[in-house]
Amino acid sequence: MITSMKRSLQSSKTWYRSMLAGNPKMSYGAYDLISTTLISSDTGAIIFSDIPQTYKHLQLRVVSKSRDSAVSASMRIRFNDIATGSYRMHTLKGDGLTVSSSNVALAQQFAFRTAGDNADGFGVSIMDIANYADSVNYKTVRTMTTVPDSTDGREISLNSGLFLITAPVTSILFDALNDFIAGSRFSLYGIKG
Amino acid sequence: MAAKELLGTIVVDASAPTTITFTSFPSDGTDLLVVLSARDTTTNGIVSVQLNGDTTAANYSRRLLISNGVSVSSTMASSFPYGNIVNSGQTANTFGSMQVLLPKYTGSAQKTISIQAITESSSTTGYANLVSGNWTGTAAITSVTLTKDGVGSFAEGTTASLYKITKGSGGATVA
Repeated sequence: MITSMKRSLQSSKTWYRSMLAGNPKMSYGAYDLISTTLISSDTGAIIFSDIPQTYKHLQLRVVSKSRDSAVSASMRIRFNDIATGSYRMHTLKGDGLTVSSSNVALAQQFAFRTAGDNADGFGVSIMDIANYADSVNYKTVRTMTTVPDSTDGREISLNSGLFLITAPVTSILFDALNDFIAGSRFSLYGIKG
Repeated sequence: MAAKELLGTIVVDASAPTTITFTSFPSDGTDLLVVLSARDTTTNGIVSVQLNGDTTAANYSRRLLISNGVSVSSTMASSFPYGNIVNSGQTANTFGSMQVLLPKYTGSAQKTISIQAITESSSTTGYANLVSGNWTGTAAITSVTLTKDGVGSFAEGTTASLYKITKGSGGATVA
């Protein structure tokens, strides 16, 4: 057990109070939480801005519900505040009775699904954006979405999205047509690669 | 120990390889996860998964749910599990997104291969795959190979990352 320490008589030594010795905290994890927003009252839009460009991929984990008076509602997503026809989508969807596939022509945003006000619970979306900081290629988005309900309107879908802009993704905006309700949570993670 | 650790990343150059292989990874994790951003140099657009260098198709099985932006189908076969990637006929500067989950990779049971994959293009065609695969090998997984199925190769700019996922020790302990 160390009971005391004495300064060395060698004048060339540098003493530190921290074992980190001025270095950043070491982290071996590949999955870092960048930011989380948990809303406490109805909110029209959520935005992650100034996204660090130091990761390989991004993942968004969203638990949300909209004031839209339906079981399933649309959730619009835009990158870099771009609202021109730069977004393309394809969907594989099932609702417990039928399965379908669809595609959406160039649009002003991505439109994935979330729970509406009439759903039993909150919708869950996990969105992966590969190589988001790439400045040469377009950005591909892979999203798994579930909307739970015990009666009708429930759905599960695997969605793909293409952002036809080569610039790195620096901001992400979530927008519900009729506000996100309190308790909705939006989390952004950086994934090392 | 972090719950998710990056073990390695392979970035494809202009050499157009037909396989991407991860080997020599630690055996102290619970699951493995491969994240692939890929493009094919041909119109083939298929990447299959092979474990421990086993290239015998009969040692694998797969169940697929596939959509193309217009229709949906489901297939099964005694062969390598696979996912679609963007092919050379699709929109330029675009790569497909795929993840391969290999749970309990050090266990002594047959191995599950779970694949989620999408491709994108500025057209009506875009593939989405949900794949349930199985490998009959009971040895621990010591290598993971992503291979261009039949023809083609990985285009320059394709990236593949391997992650080790480790179960936590807090709360209820699960063997």
